[in-house]
Amino acid sequence: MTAVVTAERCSKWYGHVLGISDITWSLPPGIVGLLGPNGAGKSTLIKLMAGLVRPSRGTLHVFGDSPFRSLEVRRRIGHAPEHERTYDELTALELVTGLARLSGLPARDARRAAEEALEAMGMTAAMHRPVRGYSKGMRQRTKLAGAIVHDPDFLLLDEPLTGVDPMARIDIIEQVRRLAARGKTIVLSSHVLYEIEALTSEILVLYRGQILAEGDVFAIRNLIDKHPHHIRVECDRPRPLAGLLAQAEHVTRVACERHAVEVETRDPDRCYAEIAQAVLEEGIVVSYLDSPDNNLGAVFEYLTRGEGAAE
Amino acid sequence: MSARVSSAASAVAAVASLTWRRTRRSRTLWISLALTALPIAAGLAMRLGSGSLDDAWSTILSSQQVLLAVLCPLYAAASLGEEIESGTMTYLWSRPVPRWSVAAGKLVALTPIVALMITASAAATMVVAHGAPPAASSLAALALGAGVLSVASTGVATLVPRHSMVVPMVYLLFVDLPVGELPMALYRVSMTRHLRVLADGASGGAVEAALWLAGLTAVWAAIGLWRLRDLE
Amino acid sequence: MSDARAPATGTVHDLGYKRYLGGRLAQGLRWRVVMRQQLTFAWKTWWRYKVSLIGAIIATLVAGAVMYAASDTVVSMISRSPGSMEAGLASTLAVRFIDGILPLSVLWYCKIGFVASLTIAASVVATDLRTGAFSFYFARSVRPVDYVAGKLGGLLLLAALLLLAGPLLLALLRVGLSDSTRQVIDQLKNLHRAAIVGGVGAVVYSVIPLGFSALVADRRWAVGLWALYYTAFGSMMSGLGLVLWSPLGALDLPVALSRISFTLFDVTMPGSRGASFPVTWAYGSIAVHAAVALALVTWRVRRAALDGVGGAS
Repeated sequence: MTAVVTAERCSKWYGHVLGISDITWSLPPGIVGLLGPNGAGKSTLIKLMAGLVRPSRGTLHVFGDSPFRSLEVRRRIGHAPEHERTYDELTALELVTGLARLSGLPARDARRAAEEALEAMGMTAAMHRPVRGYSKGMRQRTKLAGAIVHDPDFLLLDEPLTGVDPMARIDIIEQVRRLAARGKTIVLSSHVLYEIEALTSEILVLYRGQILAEGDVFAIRNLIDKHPHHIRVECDRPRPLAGLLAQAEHVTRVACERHAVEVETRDPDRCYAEIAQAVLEEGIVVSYLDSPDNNLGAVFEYLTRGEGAAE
Repeated sequence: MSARVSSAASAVAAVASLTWRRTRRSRTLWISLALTALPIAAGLAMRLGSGSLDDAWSTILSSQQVLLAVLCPLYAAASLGEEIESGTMTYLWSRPVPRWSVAAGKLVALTPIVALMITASAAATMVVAHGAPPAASSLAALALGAGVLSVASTGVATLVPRHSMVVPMVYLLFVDLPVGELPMALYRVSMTRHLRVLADGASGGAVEAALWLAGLTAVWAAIGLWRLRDLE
Repeated sequence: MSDARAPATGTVHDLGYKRYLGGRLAQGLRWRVVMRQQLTFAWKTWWRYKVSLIGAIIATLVAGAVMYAASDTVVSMISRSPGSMEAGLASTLAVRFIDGILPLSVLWYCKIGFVASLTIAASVVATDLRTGAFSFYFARSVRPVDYVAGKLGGLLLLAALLLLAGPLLLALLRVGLSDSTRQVIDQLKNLHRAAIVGGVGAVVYSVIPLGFSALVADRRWAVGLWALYYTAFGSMMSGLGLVLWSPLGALDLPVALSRISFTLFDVTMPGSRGASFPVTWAYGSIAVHAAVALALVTWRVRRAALDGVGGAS
């Protein structure tokens, strides 16, 4: 599978401030969630991919060429920046039509494309009103319409869900899913982890300008050895189950409650197998089983705390 | 319907169209129109005085020079710098268009506005002051001045995008205008001086002034293009 | 093991936010916080203030050097005012070039003050309106009067450093360059003259541009309007003053300031632009400008406080 983005020892700094530090990375097609705390370099990486800034050192190519230099590459990119400033004096339709024209659509097609993009973002009713009077959510939708109006192959969405209401979030997430289903490669950054989780399990975690982790969130979770996995079993007789699990060498802690057992293990697969065996042997009735830290939030927290990165 | 890389001309036209729509709807236009009408009141006072035609035109020209030195940075340079500072430039620079076309589009949209305001103001003031409009060539020189100073202001603005209005304004008011008054050869680097020579309609030195003006504009345009290539 | 029949109890130990219980600045002193913030803002980058300060230092050094070099030179360019000449003093009290340097240097300080006013003063209220900073201020116990006093105090201080410090230093230098005790005593009078010129200058380049910053909510236009008013409108009024009615020239702020300076130092500059009106007009013009500006700022800030404004966007 051809990589959409390839970065080779790429660094970017602004004066003395480091944005991205010496990253080597390639991005396959699909949806990728870009995660990291504030100042981790997410927006810098997105700007590098959008061709708005160029690497201070190393290279970053999109579709095999520099997005900063190549107009042909930028034609295939759609970018929705993080900030919400737009051209307040214009209507959404005028703004998106203008952006469509700048993206190379002929004048006669640009307006139709803008109407379609705004319709896809649920902005049909408001598209003739000046952006000045829009809410945050409407501005986000307008930005997203501007990013997709020229039907790009590669979409860069910087914090697209910030400031939008829950209904708008659902709409935007649905739109992103649809675009991905049409074969677009999408990179989106967010601080709202469960929203990324709802879209993709592929993540790229940045921390202090470097790539801390990349790939499938669950695979990454398994690589984090220092933090044992938590498994919670709610059942009618927790004591016998706790007794059995306490004997296993991969189990580091067992806590017994009135109707539940909470286990910490270094080998979740073996632990699940042993739970199943114990349930069968002892005739325990299990009402609920969960791994509370087997999710993006926990992975992100472990990774960025600086304690749990796999060596 | 498929996107392709825009031709430079269509990119310039698209940016110009966006810029013109924005300017048309902002209060900017009306405020500056009111300001450029001020010299007309001064023209009325000149009518009451007893100056010659040349004196009247010379006084009007001085005020138009100052207006140009303020309006060109206010329109052309600030428009570019403000977009860089506020981040809206990302909407334009992430598109498949050469960066210079963004600056060119803005100049195409805004320079005629400044030129129209300045020439209308100068002509109306002269009519009020002396009952007759100035020579067409003088008005053309003022319109040319709007273009030249807009390019120069944009060039200066690209050097200091965070102070895109103040620095070009200070340069034109406190460097270019005073240098033009110097009795030594240094006056040749003053664009406002050459504009004055052209607008005065004096036959002597017009060609030299035009050549110097072309050269200085080219220098600022080159600086602007060089900076725009690498601005982030 | 807990008793199943006992009612469930629980305690939440909130270890996070704790209300600040230390001392607080008296209400009447909160303007100082705004002033300090204004000073920090101006000082932060080179272009905002430091470049003007360097300009003022260079102007002072150059004027000081010229003053030193000219300390024994009589220059005929500057003459006593016509009134003094009629009194027959011209022959004995011919003004030396050295005494014209300080009032002349005010013209340079005016230019420097104007540049600084563009970068630090003319956009203050407009920027706060645009960015929604007023809701930040007035959500706290800052009153409009604290805001206005703080901003004004900060700007006056910054402008005074540019327009007052230099002339005062030059006046001191002139005292030091005196040839006799009598001249020292004479020159000491120049200290308060320099202080008046510098003080009035500080008002011109802080209060008036602050008023322009309250005129429109757009930063670019606030600065542009101030620049247009100061340069284009001013020079037009000067021109009109020459042909119509001389006091109109007092509306040209740098001309009004130089009129005050030349009158205080009792010198006449040949060809000084439109400055032939009585000095009371100059004082009056600057006072009216400052009063209108202050009223405008107060009105705008009060309205912002009442509206509970946020950002424009």
